[in-house]
This record gives sequence, C-alpha cells and structure tokens, in this order.
Amino acid sequence: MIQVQGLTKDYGARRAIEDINFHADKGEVVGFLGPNGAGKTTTMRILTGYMPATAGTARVAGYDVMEESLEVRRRVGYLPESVPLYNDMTVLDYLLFMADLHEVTERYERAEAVLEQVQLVDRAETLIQNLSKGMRQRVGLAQALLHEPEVLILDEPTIGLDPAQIREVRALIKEIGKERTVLLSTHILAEAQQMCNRVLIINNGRIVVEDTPANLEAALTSGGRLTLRVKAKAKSLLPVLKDIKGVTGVELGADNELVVTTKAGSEVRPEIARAVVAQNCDLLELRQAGMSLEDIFLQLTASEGGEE
Amino acid sequence: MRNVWILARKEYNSYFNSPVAYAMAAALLFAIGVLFAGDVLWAGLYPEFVPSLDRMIQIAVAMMIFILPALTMRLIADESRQGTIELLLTAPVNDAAVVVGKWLGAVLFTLTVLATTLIYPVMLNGMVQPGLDRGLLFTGYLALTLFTMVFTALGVAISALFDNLVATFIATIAAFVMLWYFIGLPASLSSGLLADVSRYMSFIRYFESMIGGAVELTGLVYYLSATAFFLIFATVVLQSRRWRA
Repeated sequence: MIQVQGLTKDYGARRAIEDINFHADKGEVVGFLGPNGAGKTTTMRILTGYMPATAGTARVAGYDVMEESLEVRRRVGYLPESVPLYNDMTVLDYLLFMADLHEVTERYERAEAVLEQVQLVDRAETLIQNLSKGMRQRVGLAQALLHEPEVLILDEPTIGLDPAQIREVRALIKEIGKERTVLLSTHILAEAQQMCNRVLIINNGRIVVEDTPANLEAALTSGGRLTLRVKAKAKSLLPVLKDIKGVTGVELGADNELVVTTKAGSEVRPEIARAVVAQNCDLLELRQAGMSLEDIFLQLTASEGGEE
Repeated sequence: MRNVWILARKEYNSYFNSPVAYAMAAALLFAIGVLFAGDVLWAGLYPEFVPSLDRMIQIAVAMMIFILPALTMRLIADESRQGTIELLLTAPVNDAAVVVGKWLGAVLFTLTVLATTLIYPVMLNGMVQPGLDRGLLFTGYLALTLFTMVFTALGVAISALFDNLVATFIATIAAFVMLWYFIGLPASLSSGLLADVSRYMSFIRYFESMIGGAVELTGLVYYLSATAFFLIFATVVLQSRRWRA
C-alpha cells in the first residue's frame, strides 16, 4: 500500500532525509519513531503530496505521489502534526467542508459517524476556536477518517490527549489498522509497542532500524543486562566486575546501583555475587534487566548521532 | 470547477464571520452614503446642480484601493500562517482551484457589498428628471465589477507571497496604488513609445471610459487578461510553495 524507495529531501543545503526505503501493507500499523528533526514529518509530507522529494520514489495505494498526486490525496487521510483547523467554523461545518473536498457522497452521515468515533457528537455545533487542545486533536483525526481512506498518515496522533482519550484513540487506530494501512509517528515508545505491527526508527534523516517491536527487543537484548544494588561503595566494584569473564561493560547508576552488560549466553550472576561479597559489600539486589524499546531507541539514535 | 465552488462558498461564508469584513463594508457604505446625502442636500440648495453617478463610483473605487487589501490579505497568507494551507494542499484539489476558489469567494463578497450601494442610484433615480441613465448605471457597475475582479486577483497573488498579514496588507496597498494611479502617469507626462504603452496599460483610462458609458472591447479584454494573469501568477507562487516547503 505504501512503497518508498530511495526517498531523499533537501532543504537548501541541509539534507532532511536520505535514501529512505520502507513499505507498509494493507492491514498494517507502522510506527515511525525518531527524535525531533529526524525526518518523520518530512517523509509524511512527501507521502501526502504536500511537498515533492528531491530524489527517490514513493507510491501510495498504487499511485506515484509526485506524478499522480491527486489520486494519492483522494486515498490518504492525513493528520498533520500541528492539527491546523479553521477556527471560525463549527466542528460540523468544518467536517462538511472537508467532506465536500473529498467528494464524500453522504457527507452528513459520514460526519456524524466520525464524530461518534472520536466522541465529539455533542460538540458538533461548537466553534473550533472554543475547543480544547485534545478536542482539536480529535477533530483533526475525524477529518482524516472522514472519507474512509485506504491509507491513514497520522503525525503524532495522541499528542495533547488525556490518558483516557489516548487509550480510546489507540484502540481506534488499532481497529482501523486491521483493514487499512496506518503510518503514524510518535515520540511515545510504549505507544508504538502497543499499536504497531512494525516500527521504523529514523534518525538524522535515515532509517536506522525496521522490525517488529518484539523482534527489535529480542535482537538487542540478546547480550543481556544485569542490575545490581549494594548498600555502599558501588564505585569500588567497577574494576572488579569488569574483570569477570563474560562481562562486557559496567556502568555506575544512582543509589549504589550498577548496570552490568554481558555477552550473549553467559551466566555471570554467581561470580558477580561472589565478587561483591569478597569486596565486603552488602549485596541488596541482583536481577536480570530487560531492555525496553526506549533503551533500544536511545541506544540506536545515540550511536547514529555519534557516528556523524 | 466543483472544488472552485466549494472553496468560494467557504470563503464567502467566512467573510460573514469576520469583523474586519463587516467594518470594511460599513466604511464603504458610509462613505458613499455621506456623498449621496451631500449631493442631495446640494441639489436641494442649488437646483441647477444635478447629482451624478460617476462621482459615487469614483469614491467607491478610491475606497476599495484600501478596503480590498484588507479582504484579500488573509486569503492565502493567513492559511500559511495558521498552517491550514497544509490541509488544502493535501486535499484532492489542484492548486489552481484553490486560487480561483478563494478569488471567487472574495469577489462575490465584494460584489455583495457593492450591490447594497445600488440603493443610492435607485433613490437618485426617483429624485432626478427624467430619471438616471440606465446605460450609465450598467456600465458604471460593470466597471466596478471588473475593477474588483482584477484587483482581487492581484490581492490573492500577493497573499500567496507572504505568511505575514501586515506585510501582505502593506504590499497589496502599494501594488494597488502603483497599478491604479501610477501605471498611466507616463502617458500624461511624456509622449512617444513609453507614453503609448502607459496609456494602453492604464486601468484608470478604460475605467473612466466605462463609467462615462463607453465600453471598449480592448478595455474588457485587458481587465479580463490581467485577472487571468494574476490568478496564474498566484497559482505559480502557490505551487512554488510546495518546492520551497
């Protein structure tokens, strides 16, 4: 449904994205993760026909985004990051106007249906300028869903929503993603873990990693990490622990906590425990620590940044 | 064409939610009303004075040089400032339809305001014998309509160039004054090729012919061509925004 090959975009002398390649199929929710300025919005704007790429090709629903932009725009529902809305219109008038532009035949029925989906039926006659940030976000989402697009492109769809609304919107996107293609960007890694079938991590304009959240976590935690806490003198343990066979790194944390990274398949816990006791330190805790998607994200983006 | 009408309708309706549009309409009606009342009083005092339509139309144009920029400045510049241009440029609408739709909405709103000024000629018609020349009334309002079409198109084009409303407003007034008052100036100051070109390009010359009752085909073609030129220019600017984005 979305096919991107070698997509590159320059803003003057600055390269915003470089050689981006990915695809998203029908019935898939793909998460775009990356720090600010990584190139997420630029990629999404190219896919929606808002701006052309400098190089590369992108096809959405079988149409080239540059050559057949109008066809692409007919098939894409887009929620821009800043959720731009016409403040002088009521929610219903705005949806009817957008429905007209998208040639929705039963526009009143569709407007009512999407308002129900985003739980804004009681705000249909409210002026948009009088809505809260969360409500504006939901109006933007309603607009993106209005013409039942084959592809939904959502730039930070849950930003500004309260926890209950976030849960509802995530459930809604997940539901929509069963039948359509959803490409969403987010800073919230837990969100990507919960909603996405696949995750693309983008940094400095390049895709660093593309995989399922589960695979990503498994691949990057194969080395294993241990967290241990002692009563005092944690710093004195650093050289001792580093000398243990199978330990690849030791970092000092807060409150006498140490994070030990180990080689894949090595069992070093008994040796660590003995070494701590031998140093006359009171061992309070020793546990296997999982690596969250957040850790993976930070690790990948930090290493990419370091290379540049 | 369908999208042009959808966008024009939206723009037209949004003027009725805008206090600026009401203020501009009120200022125009007030100025013409004061002139009309003055003419009527003057005619009462001096029976040989005959109130005429062309003075009213000239006042209307002089005011519109300053009123139209306030109406057109927001058309694209405000969409850029508020980010709603992203909605329009990612909707299945081509850039020309966006420009023409916005232009049409502004033209229709201005013509609606101008239509309310017809009350004065209608009243005048009952006051003078044997009534107003209907031909002059028609050509006078035709001139106003053509003026509105050209200058609104120029306003849209300038609005596409800026994101800042104040900059758009000032640039539009400057362009209007240049185009209306100065383009024909060389014709009255010199002779030769420059004067000839200036005379042919003078909007005011054709306008004055029209309110005097003479509708020249050259003038009609010139006004319509200028409108098309500015709309095409605005479309090109809007398209270039995609590349500059």
